[in-house]
Amino acid sequence: MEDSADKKRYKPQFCPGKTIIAENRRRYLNPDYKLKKIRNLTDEDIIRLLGFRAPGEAYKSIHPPLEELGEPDCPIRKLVEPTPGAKAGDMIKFIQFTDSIYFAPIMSTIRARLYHWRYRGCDVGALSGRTPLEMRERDLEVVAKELLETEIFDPAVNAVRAITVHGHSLRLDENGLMFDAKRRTLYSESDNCVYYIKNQWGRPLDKPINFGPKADENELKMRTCAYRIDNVDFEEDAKEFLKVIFNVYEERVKGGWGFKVQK
Amino acid sequence: MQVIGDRVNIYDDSGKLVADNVPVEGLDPINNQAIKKILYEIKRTVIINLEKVEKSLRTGELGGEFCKMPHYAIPDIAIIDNAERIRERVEAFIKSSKDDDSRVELLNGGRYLLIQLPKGMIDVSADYTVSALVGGSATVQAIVDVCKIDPLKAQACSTAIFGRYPSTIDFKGGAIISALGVPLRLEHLGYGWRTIQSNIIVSLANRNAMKAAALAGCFEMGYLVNAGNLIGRYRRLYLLGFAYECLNAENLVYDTVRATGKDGTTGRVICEILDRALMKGVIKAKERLPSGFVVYEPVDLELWNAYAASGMLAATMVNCGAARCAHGVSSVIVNYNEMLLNETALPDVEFGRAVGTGLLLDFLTHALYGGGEVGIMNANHPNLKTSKLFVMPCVAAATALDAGTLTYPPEKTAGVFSQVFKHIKEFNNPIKSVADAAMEWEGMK
Repeated sequence: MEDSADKKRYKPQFCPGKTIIAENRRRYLNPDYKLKKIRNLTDEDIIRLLGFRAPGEAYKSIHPPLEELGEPDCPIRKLVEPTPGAKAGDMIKFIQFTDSIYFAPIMSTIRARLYHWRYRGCDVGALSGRTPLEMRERDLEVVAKELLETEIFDPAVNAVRAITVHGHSLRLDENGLMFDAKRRTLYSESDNCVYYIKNQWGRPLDKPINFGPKADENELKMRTCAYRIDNVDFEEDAKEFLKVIFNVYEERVKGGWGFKVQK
Repeated sequence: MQVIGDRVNIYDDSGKLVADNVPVEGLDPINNQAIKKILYEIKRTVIINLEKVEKSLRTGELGGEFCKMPHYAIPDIAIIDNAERIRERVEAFIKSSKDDDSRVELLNGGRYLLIQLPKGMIDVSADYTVSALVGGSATVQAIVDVCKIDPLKAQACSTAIFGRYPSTIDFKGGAIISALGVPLRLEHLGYGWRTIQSNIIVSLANRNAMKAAALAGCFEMGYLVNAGNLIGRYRRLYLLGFAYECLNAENLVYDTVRATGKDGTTGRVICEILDRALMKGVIKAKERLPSGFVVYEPVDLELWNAYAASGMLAATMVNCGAARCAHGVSSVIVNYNEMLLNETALPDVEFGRAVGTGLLLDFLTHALYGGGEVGIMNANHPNLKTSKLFVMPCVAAATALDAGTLTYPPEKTAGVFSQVFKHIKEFNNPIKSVADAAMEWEGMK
């Protein structure tokens, strides 16, 4: 079967729709688009926020490195390159996000799809109010850095919470921050910045992590990929989305009913 | 029975053509001698863990946890030392004639006793429990005879092998190792072939992902025949799905993994599959929406489903293979299908059943609602029963690609199965054997 690049016919299209929301979805999902970096976090910040190991501490392993282990004779293993974490035998660790319904740049469904478009070796949970991402530890740290430093994360309406995640569907507080029973984030009026004063487990950090200024609502309305009646109404793209959904369901019913054979 | 005229080229686990122009009709288990052989060998096989029997009898810990009965103990019993004599005795009980196909062997230096019943016993039996019951009974009697057990303690030998059965519905705490689960645990009638755990399939395939998927497919096909799903309007759907997903027809699975294995993601696999489906004319553009989004429709719905299912297996191999970790399989199943239908407006694998199965599998394998681990899942599970044929190969392939993140890996729970069938070509190379058998079937017509 030919697979040379010039004979490729299919270009991914990600989702239908003409509005800025659909446009944002296509941007975030497209693995060829480099997410815009809007803040700088150090590797140490990421490690402290995740809370699995101390900065400088060795990665814990669940099995010996693949080289030592010796892989079974399987052609697929020869084709599929293991990630650095898999090669080293790292333990599986996770980061979990909660995304507010108030114009968060990205939310559960798109987040899961984004991970599977962009990252290898990921294991995403399928839940409504939170999205865990499990990976080998050193792979997770690299991915978490990109997720936290770029335009898809706003410290007021997106949050990193391993436990006690409740808050995505609640009204924002007086500073525009999402409710957090464990008060992991702190808004500083003096510099308009949001600081993580606890790690994702809710354990106090010895030094706060500055996530920079929170975006104002108008900016978030331009960055979000969720339809809302007080921003871009779903109705504006509904015609196209419904065409897609109806097509899927029509074919599903035909297939489930064994339509062709009956005809 | 209607005849499905499709023909496919079948490639093996390393992408080499093993049979061309194979009729998919020949892949139906009732026509295919290789699948019949695989199913027959599994059905007639039981393994008795002699080491466990000896330990139970020596300590009086019979029937698993919380059951300690020192008064039943036989502290000086020597089962492993007498393993060969026990084997001979069992063979004498089981052999129906000098040249029947029964097989009684010791494995792992006498720690396991492999018993394969002769064909006659399988033919006469109403269900597949005959292997466990005959094999178990023969071993009990052999131990009693060889070790000269007192009549008052003979019952303990039975309990050491059969466990708490019949107080429980299965052989809880016993020493019977069977690939098939007990009928009383079946989710529905006809689910016998679905009781084989992912770990056992991976052990049978010696951790080869493609072969594990092929064997998982053979067992699912056995189930489809058993449960009346391989007739009428769904016959072509499953025959094509089996050929493409499990037997690497047109090299679709292998070639997609080859193209995306180095740096690909689930999304890239979807692009590969759609590219190939467009090239082969399996799907076509239906409508261009004002935003430029193209809605696609299948030209051949059943063939498209086979392509989509092959992509799901390839995505599993790429994503779980990259992490060398089996747990991500549920996430791949959910998101592969979700992304595929949002991407093209085409129907997903098995018309929505795969995505539903993946979602609950995600909950069950990630400690949300209890459940278990990927390796100990089987298609008879309340979750995995929801999708026929298409999901179990992915689960088996993911388990095969795991490098050691599982709490219950195949080597721990089912390692002995890797030795049992190692000389049988149908288990060593299921893809080639099934393809060859399909060609032979056509030649015999």
